[in-house]
Amino acid sequence: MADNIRLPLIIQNSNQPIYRENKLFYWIITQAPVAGVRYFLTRNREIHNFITEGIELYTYNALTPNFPQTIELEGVEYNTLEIADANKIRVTWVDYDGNWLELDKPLISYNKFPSLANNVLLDTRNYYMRIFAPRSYFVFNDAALITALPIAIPMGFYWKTKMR
Amino acid sequence: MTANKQVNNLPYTLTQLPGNNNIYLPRNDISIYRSYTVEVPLNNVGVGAKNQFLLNEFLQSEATGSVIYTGVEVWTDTQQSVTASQRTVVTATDAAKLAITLKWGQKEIIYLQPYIGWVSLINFGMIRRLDQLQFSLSDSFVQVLQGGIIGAKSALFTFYFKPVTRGR
Repeated sequence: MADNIRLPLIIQNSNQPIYRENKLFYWIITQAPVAGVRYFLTRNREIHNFITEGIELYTYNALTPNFPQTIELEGVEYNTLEIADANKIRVTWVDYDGNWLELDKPLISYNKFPSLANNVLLDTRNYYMRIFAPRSYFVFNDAALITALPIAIPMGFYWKTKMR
Repeated sequence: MTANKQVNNLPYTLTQLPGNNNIYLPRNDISIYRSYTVEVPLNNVGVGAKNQFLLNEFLQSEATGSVIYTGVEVWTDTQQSVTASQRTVVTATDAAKLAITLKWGQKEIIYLQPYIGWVSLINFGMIRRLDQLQFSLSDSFVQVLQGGIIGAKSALFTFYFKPVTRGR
């Protein structure tokens, strides 16, 4: 990539909806995962009945850190999922009625920094989904993770309106 | 050199690599309602071989034209190492040997599209937008244009779609 070329780009353009709220959630892995098993997202029940407009994944990259390597949650220290493990997980988002919204989506597709060189920042994709977290799940394609347990997977959600 | 930047209330720390500029890209203005990830097992890797999508109940129901496609992207092993059926996803080198044909009935809507061109995460994250097309994935295939693909591998697609009958 040429040094002096900078594309005339901005973080937020006119096509991007104006987010009113966003929140960072962590999914926790405390035991050695098993490939092919569904791990339901039983925590973070706030992610339901909201129309999600953006989803972001953050990983730890030792080459060019852009997210902390460890996170403390409720007195417990967790290791951020390393970027090398992000291609081993797929995710399925499900709505309140049990209908899948995104089926078997590669987790890395949500990564803000998808490359090891960290020289490309992907803007948040534009979603319009009403995710219900307790029915949504991760599946490990490959359970041989580099990241040591316990692991936290940070994901940011953006939403605009709440259902009553 | 690092810079802290607040974007959308989430902190980012950007590291300026020597000789490189960080690049911010605008999103596709595609709105994702639903998506489906499906593999194409490369059971035949001979030159000219056509490999079909792995059939499942969703493919069989959508073959009746109940969905319209708004976007598509494909993956290599860098983005997802193994498929749900435990086949290795094609490497970037393998991807350069593949081409995609998507059909609607007997008509070829997408014909011999180079697979590598739809790998979004090496194309600045851009999802290929489709102008509300319909496909018969059961008739579509991935064609091998060059030999040298070794091992039991699969091509992997994510299709973005919305139902025909509803406005969303």
